[in-house]
Amino acid sequence: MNKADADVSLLNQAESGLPQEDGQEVAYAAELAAFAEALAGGDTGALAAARAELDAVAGRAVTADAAAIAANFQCMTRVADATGIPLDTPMMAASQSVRDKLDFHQYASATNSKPIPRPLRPVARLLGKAIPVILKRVRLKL
Amino acid sequence: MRSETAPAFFLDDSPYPIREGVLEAYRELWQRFSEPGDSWTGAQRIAIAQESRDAKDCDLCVRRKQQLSPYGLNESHVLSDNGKLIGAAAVDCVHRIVTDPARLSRRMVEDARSSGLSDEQIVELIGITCVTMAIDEHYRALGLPLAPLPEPVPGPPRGRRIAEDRQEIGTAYVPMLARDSAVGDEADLWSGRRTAIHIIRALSLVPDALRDLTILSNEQYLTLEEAPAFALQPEGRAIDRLQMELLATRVSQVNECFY
Repeated sequence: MNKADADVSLLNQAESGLPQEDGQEVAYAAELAAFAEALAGGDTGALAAARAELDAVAGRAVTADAAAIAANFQCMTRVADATGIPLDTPMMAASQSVRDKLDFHQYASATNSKPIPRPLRPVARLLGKAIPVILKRVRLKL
Repeated sequence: MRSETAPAFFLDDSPYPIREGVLEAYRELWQRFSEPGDSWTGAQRIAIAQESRDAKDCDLCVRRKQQLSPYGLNESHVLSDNGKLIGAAAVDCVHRIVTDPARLSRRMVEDARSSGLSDEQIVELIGITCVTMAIDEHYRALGLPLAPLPEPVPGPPRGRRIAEDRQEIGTAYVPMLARDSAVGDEADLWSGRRTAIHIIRALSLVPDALRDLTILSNEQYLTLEEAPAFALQPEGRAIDRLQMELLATRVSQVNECFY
């Protein structure tokens, strides 16, 4: 299993922090992950190939919107790391287990955030389970 | 001040169905970038945007990235005429942000300060660099040519500053607007909420830089109101929320962004 597979696998689990129905899967997950990876990796050839694959399986409307999201996170990651903001504590608590599994703590930018103290980790684990459930119930008042 | 003629940027002529709201946001951002900012002139702001493009082909940045340390090479960028408009320290910041995001550190900001850049100049620079990159990356991702940059609007920087007693210092490398200080002219910044998470506050020392980021993200990603609503499927999108978060996670992972 490569890292992209691992991401997709995690996103298919409730503990990813994303609320999901049982058995729900991410459509075109492998193609979307490859597309995002190629853009962020800056490999023009890989990007063209990933785009063609995504076009073929999902259609150009999906590719256009996927490109916008990936581009936005090319921006947001740089805003976060150029300004040196720490991760907000509730977000840290909600995503602790997935960060541990994907070994995000090895990143240089992890030093901007204080880890949750060991005694508080059980509370963080509970919060990590509760927050996605809460978020799932958030509805907009339109 | 606005140009008399609307710029013919981001026309709806792509083989990909880019949403009109996205194109409209890009046009608005190009217009905003062309005008004098709080700390840089319009010409300097467009020079920052151009430098974010030039960084992609920078030989020094390629060689730097191969070093064990991002400061392993004792070399400086050779400034183009464009680069001379903003100076060596600003060029160095822009290039590092674009080409080596995983190894950005406090040193970049401290070096910029030591070279005479103000915190406001640094924050405004980060905003223009990152937002320009987001627009360009959308087009690169689709294999489309980049839009030409707009002509700058003449005039001096506006010089607005957030008062020191409203700044939060020490949480990040740069000061931010304090959580309870989004009032008065800045009342819109947290979208009417009492506080905001750090990624929203990151550029808030220069409120217009945060407004630029909000204009961008509302269309490329989600609004502040939509973002926490994981059960919501935003209207008019061809991808669902899980697909959005998969893309976001993968890009963040490649860029080694802990946030």
